[in-house]
Amino acid sequence: MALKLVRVDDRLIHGQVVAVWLKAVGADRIVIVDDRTAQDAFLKDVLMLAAPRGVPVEVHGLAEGAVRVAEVAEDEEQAFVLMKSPLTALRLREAGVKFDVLNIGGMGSGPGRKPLYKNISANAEEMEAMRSLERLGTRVEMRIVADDRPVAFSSVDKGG
Amino acid sequence: MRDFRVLVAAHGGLADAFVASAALICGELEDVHAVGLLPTDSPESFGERLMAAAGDPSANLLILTDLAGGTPHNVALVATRRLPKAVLISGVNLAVLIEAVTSIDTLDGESVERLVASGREALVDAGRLFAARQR
Repeated sequence: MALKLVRVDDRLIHGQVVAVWLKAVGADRIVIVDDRTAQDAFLKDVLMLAAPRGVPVEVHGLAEGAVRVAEVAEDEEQAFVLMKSPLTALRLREAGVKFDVLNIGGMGSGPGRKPLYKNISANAEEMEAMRSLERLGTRVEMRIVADDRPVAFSSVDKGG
Repeated sequence: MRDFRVLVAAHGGLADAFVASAALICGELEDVHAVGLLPTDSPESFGERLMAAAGDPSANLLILTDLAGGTPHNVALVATRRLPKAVLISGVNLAVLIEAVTSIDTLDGESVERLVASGREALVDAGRLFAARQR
């Protein structure tokens, strides 16, 4: 098991991730699963530049990502898996990728999204995806920075 | 007369504070705008405010961001695809901003290099420098 952290963060690689999480979890590779970024060489370059030197970054679309994340889960290397939405996490899970915990770190406000916990917002579909993940045995936790105490999704889900 | 707009993009209240503090030193700043990343922002919502603050996308623009790899910078870098004349510099400090608003009229290779140099020169180990003088 070498998935150090599986995180939903709509900013993908940014200050919190680089300055705090990478060090806190001791990951030596970043694996991003995002269809839009995977298809856009420019966006990919932006992310590569945002990562600290010496930490390799991979960007995959969903189909390829599911295969790759399952592979790194069996690897010696410590991987940090990032995606923008819990919908992606659910699809990975449904594709057979197992992870015990999903960290919800950043989901900004937007059309259709309602505040869920602190600065994390989610729309109805995303809420349903997080509930499905829990039913499939993945613990969904709200935790923005590594110093925060993890808060269970089930404890902030008022509609479930 | 400066022929470009200046945009400071940074985390939290830093962008506004940079602009306000530069104005304390230089007097009222013309065509200098701040865009701050709020804790509730998504990259999309921040990007929309950044594009609105950029104004005419075909105009000359200097974007100063606080941290390479941070969201304001990443979003600004993505936005430069739609801002063909934008120059993007990360690691803004007060020295760079003051240089940009007081000493540079147009953005070209030479002036951009000078801007970056002004920011680098502002960062010094002052204690060591002072100790060296005492000897």
